[in-house]
Amino acid sequence: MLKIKKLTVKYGTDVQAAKDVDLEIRKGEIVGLVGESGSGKSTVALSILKLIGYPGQVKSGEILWNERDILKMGNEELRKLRGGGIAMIFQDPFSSLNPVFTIGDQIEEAVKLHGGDDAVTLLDAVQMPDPESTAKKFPHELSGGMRQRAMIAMALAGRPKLLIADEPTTALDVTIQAGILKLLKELQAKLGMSVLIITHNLALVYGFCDRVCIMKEGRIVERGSVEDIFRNPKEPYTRELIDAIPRPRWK
Amino acid sequence: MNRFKQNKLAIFGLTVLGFFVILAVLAPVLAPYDPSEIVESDTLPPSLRHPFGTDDLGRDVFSRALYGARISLTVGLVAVSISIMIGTILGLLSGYYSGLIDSTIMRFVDIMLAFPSIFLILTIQVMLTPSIYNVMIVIGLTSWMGVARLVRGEVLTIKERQYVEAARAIGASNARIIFRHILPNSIAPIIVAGTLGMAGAILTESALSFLGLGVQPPTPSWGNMLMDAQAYLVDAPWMAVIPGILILLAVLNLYFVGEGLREAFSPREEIK
Repeated sequence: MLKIKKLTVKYGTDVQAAKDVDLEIRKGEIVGLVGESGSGKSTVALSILKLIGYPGQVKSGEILWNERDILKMGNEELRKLRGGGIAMIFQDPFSSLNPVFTIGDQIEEAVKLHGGDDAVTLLDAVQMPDPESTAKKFPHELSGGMRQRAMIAMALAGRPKLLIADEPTTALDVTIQAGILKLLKELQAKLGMSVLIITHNLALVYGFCDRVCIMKEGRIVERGSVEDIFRNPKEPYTRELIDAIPRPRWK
Repeated sequence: MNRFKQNKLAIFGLTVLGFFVILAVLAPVLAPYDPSEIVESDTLPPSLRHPFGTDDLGRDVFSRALYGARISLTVGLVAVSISIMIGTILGLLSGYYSGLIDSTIMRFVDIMLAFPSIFLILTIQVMLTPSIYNVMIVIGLTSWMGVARLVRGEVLTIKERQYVEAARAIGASNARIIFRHILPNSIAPIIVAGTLGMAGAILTESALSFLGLGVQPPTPSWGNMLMDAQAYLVDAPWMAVIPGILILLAVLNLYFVGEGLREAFSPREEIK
């Protein structure tokens, strides 16, 4: 469904944030893109929606969405794709919601652009407690987890085929993280969409993703099913990442 | 809003301005005489019949001051609306689309600021027929530069916020992002600039009318009342003092309100 071929993105003239990245996401699949800060994972995610801003620039490569190159799309087509075909949720739910509008208004905005269910139904779908009164609340009145649920509701408004989640749980408590991941998984199964999850936490990938790509310094250094990566990591870097997962040691 | 209420000076300013507005609106009811009618012998000192005295032609200064308030406040309001509108739109465009559009608009702002504005206004006023509408438009057209810079700066920070990127990611168009996401978040400094700008506009109107190129007699404005008074400063000081005090009060209280709003909106004084 989505095929990235030899994507190279540069910031300025010499910083290469992504080098010859190949990535494929099939229908109904959950793919994890894992790497340390600065490894280029968010750059890849933003490129998919052509949201790379100055001074970033896609130097070469193709991003094929149902055989159409996103990088060659015009503005009108891009707007339909963003939110309609591919939606994105961001790392920080505290700054991703506009402080001057209610939750309901912001979700309705996405609905207005792409059609779909109304805000309350969507909030209900993301298991927001008391969706009716929440829709009338402002972002600062919600907790981090509730805000991230509101963001997911917004992303779902256009019934996307692919959801890109850029570190969706990094800013949240561990217990809330688990709830959000469970919700994403349930929604994915129910709606049959694909999910690209970006994270620096390899532990999060386990039990959530079908396939994993490990990124380092702009390159995908290893890829494979979750089983393979955890049982039999080929790259020393992947092993380091696995070793970096904290495990409680009982004595 | 609470922080604005706690600012006694701002509340005082708002009360005085409210009082002025009521007087201006009710001028036809409250004024004892027609403002352009010669009702008595000239330059009578203040008395019960004429609380602010009479002017050089024998017109009631109190009635003229009331009608003058209408003119001065209207000119201030309309001129500021024009300048805010131009400044906000150009500032939004300039801040949002960086590059050529930004440079063009900002250089244009620099050019406009490089003109001594009072001479620019005078020149335009000489070419046009001086009327109260031209005064409003000309003041508006020559005072938007500060607003444009202010809004541009605000937009530059707001457009980097994540909710703007989130809006783009759900497929919102540029126009939608500018007017629905960026503008409402930059409204606070615009309101402050508008309040302070209105004080400036009232002063400019007074200066223009004083120079004879603003509101034309017999229509009274605080500025041309001052002009009429200059020949009688010794014989009839009240003719100058009354409009002078009114201009002072209006401008000063607008500044109080503006400062109060600025403080109320400013995030760095959040903790108290």
